[in-house]
Amino acid sequence: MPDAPAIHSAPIVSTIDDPSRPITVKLRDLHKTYDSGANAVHAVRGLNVDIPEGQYISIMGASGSGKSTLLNILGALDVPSKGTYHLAGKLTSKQSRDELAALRNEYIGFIFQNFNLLTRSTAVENVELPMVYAGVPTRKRRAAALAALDKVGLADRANHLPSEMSGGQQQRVAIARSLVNTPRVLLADEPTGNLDTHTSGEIMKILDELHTKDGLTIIIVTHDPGVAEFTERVVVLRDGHIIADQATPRCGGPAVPDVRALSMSIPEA
Amino acid sequence: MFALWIECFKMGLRELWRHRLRSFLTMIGMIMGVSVVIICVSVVQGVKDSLIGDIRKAGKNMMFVFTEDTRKGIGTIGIQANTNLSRDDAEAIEIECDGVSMASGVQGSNVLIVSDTNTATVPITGADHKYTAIRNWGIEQGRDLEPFDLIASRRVCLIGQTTMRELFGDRNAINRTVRIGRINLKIVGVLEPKGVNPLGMDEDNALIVPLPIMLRDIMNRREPDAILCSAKSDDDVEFAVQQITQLLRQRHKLGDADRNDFRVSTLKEKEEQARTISNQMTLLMFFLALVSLMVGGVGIMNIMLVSVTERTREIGIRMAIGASTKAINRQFLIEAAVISTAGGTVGIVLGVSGAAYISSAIGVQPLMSPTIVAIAFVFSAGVGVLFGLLPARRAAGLNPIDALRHD
Ligand SMILES: Nc1ncnc2c1ncn2[C@@H]1O[C@H](COP(=O)(O)OP(=O)(O)O)[C@@H](O)[C@H]1O
Ligand SMILES: [Mg+2]
Repeated sequence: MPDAPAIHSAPIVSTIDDPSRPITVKLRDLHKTYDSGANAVHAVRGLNVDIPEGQYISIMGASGSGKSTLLNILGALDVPSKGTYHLAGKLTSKQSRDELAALRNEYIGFIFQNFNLLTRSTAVENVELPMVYAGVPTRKRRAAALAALDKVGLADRANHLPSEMSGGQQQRVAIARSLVNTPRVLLADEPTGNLDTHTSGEIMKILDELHTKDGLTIIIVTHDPGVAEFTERVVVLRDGHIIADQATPRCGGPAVPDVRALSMSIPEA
Repeated sequence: MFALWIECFKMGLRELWRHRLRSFLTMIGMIMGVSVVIICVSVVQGVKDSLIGDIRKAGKNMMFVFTEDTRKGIGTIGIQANTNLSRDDAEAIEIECDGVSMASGVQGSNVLIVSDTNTATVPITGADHKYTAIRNWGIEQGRDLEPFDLIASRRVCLIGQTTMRELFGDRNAINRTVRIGRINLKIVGVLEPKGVNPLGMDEDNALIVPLPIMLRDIMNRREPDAILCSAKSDDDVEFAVQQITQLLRQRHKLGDADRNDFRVSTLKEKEEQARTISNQMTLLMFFLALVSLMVGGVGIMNIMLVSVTERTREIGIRMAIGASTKAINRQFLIEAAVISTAGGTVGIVLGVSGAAYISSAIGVQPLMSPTIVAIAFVFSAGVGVLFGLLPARRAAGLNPIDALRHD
């Protein structure tokens, strides 16, 4: 949906070229190699990226360019093979399994293309889960979960199972779940990939509000230029390299490249 | 972190309920193990208690002296042609041992008895007039044996309720005659009903005849092969046994190196035996139960491993939103413990009701000790934890990314 103009009307404070902002995500010479038997796959090759607090940034690239690999490392679900990743000043490669789990729990909210809700738990139970692992007492948990569901407009669906909800509703439950522990950074891997245009618009509106109203740092992986145009900055990957890092038209940058065309036209760097 | 325990417990219960049939089938091993052990232990303990109760009722102060064959150096069981005991021994015991209040020579045998209408094989006992007093048996009708019956070798007898029914049906047996071989005996007394003892023997199947008749006319022997005595009190039993042993050794002219040619057995001793046997059986039950709990545990481990594989993605999701290895580990451990404890609880309920049913069927009071119920409960929970360790470790060791991609 390249034409979703309504949201742009809100005045936004750009995080682009604002040196006073602290850096939330700092990547230096980041590599990831998958060692799948005979041939190793070099999915991410020496990335250097700084993402300031409160930035709304999209990562684009053709299928197989390393977007998900990068996002999984950013989400502390995976560890880099080489290089460093600082999240809010913490060097993640120095952390143990359980410290990374705590990091995911407190610092990171994750939204997936396929929602990844617990299929046999209700919406409110799904939203409560991160708080269960954070050790929040039951009563406080329930109240916070209902508030989060209300925020994404699903207060009336609290006791529904994921199977009783539409894709858009499920993704909103996932967003509510990602927010309950007030994360430092929200990661979204093709959050609209399984949704129709209208529903995608609803989801993007929620993310946009989280950026403008709550000042949340949001990193969104997409290959839809229409989605990328909502953000402030776009990083384009190809074969694990950054081939473009620019402001979006919304923040005075050039047009967002269509990566599907890009992968065809741009020769190997 | 207490909240996480409760949460894990709730998740465990929910998972159990979600796979009702599977959980039930998994629990069967536990249910069987726990219920069988509870049934066996409480019935065995109940039988023991009722046995001991009967022994006490019969008189703990009773002592039996049996003849023992020393020639081959082995004790013999059953009726022997030769006996080392005599009626004089019995009389001497009663007179000379001050721990003993009464003593009677006794001779038992299974004999075919004929009445005017029926015949029956009955365990009959030859004894003197003190027999019913020593055994603490009452006379319901008619009279007891009297000294004169013995002195005069009168052909009279006392009859038990069952024997009376078999030989005479509903008719009154008093003053009727029964025949043993060529001997006719007149029934002068009917014994009080005593019921079945815990070994299943009918105490009312009895015929008591004067010892001289039994020895001379029925068995064709000179002396009885046993002497029944009663101690003055329960506390005198051990002392009385010593006195009897000393007296008989002296009377039988045994040297210091000679073995006793008799054996004194007490009901106190029988009580100890009942206790030992039932405790050994209980121990055996515990081992059997342990084996079946282990089998149940392996079943739980198997189903938990399947569950971990099935729920790999769920585990991935939980890890992605911040579940630590400890939390995942605990979730699956508790789930296994919930299954086994539920199985154990069902087993306890089945066991307690089964024990009550079986006990009432065989006519004893089951002994339900809270200890065994507690032990069964703790063990079944323990089995879940023990056999949940491997599946839980497997779940907790999953890589978040791989688990998340699993479908
Ligand atoms: N677990 C893995 N094992 C081996 N190769 C992988 C694994 N995950 C991704 N890859 C490879 O790494 C490259 C980048 O994948 P990915 O990050 O998923 O790309 P994108 O999300 O941009 O489509 C691809 O060539 C892919 O085949
Ligand atoms: Mg991808």
